Amino acid sequence: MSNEKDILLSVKDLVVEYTSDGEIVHAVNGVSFQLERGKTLGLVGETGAGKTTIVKSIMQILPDPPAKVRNGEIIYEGSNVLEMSQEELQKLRGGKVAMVFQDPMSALNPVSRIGNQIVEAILAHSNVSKHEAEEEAMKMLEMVGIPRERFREYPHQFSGGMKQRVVIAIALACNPDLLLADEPTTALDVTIQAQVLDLIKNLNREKNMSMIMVTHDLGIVAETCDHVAVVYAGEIIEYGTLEEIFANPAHPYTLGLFGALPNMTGRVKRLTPIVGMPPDPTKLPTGCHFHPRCPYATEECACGEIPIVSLGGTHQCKCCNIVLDTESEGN
Amino acid sequence: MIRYVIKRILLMIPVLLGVAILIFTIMYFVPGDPAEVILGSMASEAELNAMRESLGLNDPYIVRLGRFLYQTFIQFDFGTSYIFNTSVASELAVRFPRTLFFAVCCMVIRVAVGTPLGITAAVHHNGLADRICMMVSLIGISLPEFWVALMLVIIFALNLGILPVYGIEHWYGWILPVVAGSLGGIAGQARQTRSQMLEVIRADYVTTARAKGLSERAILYKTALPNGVIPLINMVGSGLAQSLGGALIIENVFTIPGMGVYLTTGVNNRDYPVVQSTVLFLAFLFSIIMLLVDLAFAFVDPRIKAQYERSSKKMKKSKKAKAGQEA
Repeated sequence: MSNEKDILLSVKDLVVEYTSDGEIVHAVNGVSFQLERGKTLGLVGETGAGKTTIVKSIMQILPDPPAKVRNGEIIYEGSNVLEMSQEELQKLRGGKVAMVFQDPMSALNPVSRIGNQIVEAILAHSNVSKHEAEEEAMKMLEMVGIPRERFREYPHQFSGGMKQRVVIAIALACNPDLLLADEPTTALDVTIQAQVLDLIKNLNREKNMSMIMVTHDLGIVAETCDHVAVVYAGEIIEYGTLEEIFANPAHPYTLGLFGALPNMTGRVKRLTPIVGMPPDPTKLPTGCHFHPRCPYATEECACGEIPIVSLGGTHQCKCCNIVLDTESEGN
Repeated sequence: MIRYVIKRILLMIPVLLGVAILIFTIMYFVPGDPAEVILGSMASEAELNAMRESLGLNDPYIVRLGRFLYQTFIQFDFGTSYIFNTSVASELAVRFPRTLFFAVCCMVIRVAVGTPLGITAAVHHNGLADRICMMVSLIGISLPEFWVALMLVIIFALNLGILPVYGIEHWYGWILPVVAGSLGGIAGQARQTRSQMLEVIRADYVTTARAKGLSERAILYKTALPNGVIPLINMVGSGLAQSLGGALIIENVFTIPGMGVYLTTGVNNRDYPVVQSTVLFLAFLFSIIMLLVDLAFAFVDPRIKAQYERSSKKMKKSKKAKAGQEA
């Protein structure tokens, strides 16, 4: 937070709820973070932790109903996204902020030519002729490694990895300042994952974009991110630079995530999973939402607000029992 | 693609043969004697027998069936009506355009009115407009056609006197029959469109379109609608077929000299050639409509088109392989 100008996006106390069958699902419960221009933030957590909801609310593309932003601010370049008019939002979406979706199989319109789907995005944001837009779209295709001859083909003629490239081409078509990548490689097989990830990384560097990378894969985080936010039950429970989190994980949940990873050096017969299941978001536990699964839990954890502890630098952790600070990495 | 069309047309032959045998058999077992209808109740037993003999009704089932199939499928002779003594084919040629006109009018109206109603309902899901559309269409589906037709006659023809009770001498004679024949269809079309659109509006690619920064209008008309209407093509085809069937009742209520009236009088008089040929002709029409529907699918949905092309390529390949083995 040295210079105000560096902050591209700042989210404060974001609360998002879904209503289903009269029950309230607490998807995001008071999330705050800041993203500097040109940097990449990783949102890490289990399925259902609220990561996708966070990024979708930045673009205001949550399905409403049932989703509702109850509280908070999302400040993008000085203006609050939550208070924008439809026209302002349309300029923001795809223009300044773009998104790569989780499932390329269903993210493309099945009855529209892929070229046309890129052209649509370009025409929505810049005043060019249809012909110029088509030329631009072909360049985008080549940039993501698809020959321009395939411009007039349909999504069903592409493989999964190719489709994700098209989705990336659509997202980058208008040179956004911020790219939201929502588990961009989850639906792809491992070799294609690496290709797509490299593509995103290179384009990111070339265009000096900022990025929020949503993933549950710590390997992807290590490869792409500058900062990491660990999300659990709709809260950021630990935040810091890549080095701070990977060298010095402080929250028991983060430790658990690392414990569940296979290790190249110390061979163990079994990986240690985190015991239990993620909490039911309609009935979140009181106090620290992680305490029923936490091996270090005390009575204190079950009641009241859990303080956010600063561990030096940007490293923050939401836990009352951070005792083993530096020694923990030895385990 | 052409291969596929030829295959489908060839497949129609066994279907029509089946329909022909079925309708012939049903009419064979239906009690009643055409000779009695032709000669009246005063005819003597000898006269009746002579008439039966001349119509070939005394022959056994299998001989009559064979003669019917031979005449219809080999000679393309649809027979002569027992009662009117006119050729069935020429009668159908005059009557069919009227029934087709009626059915097409009903179909156009049901699509033109029902589809926008369904889209409106889906866009305002659970809102007031949605509730009203769905309420109206529920009523529309629940009312039987003949009852609606009679009510329309009572209100507009008898009480208000602004439209004729029956007949199609003037173009406005068509108004009441077409309205009566399309109300139920409009309701069905609206409900189908609504559920289709609701499904599509929640699809991921609609979120992608929104994330591109398209306006809500563009999202609805350029992304959601083309996907939503594909399954509705089926509704259009079956709607046309339904209207052709519905013509049976509506034509009788409004005394329109179409195929429906022809078929019902044929059934009442045990006029076998009329019934058999009309039903066969309707079956032929339905098969053609369904083929057109399937082709329309391929035309609007690139995925289905690719399937057809792939299957015909496969056939070519397997044939080549076979030829290679034999050589």
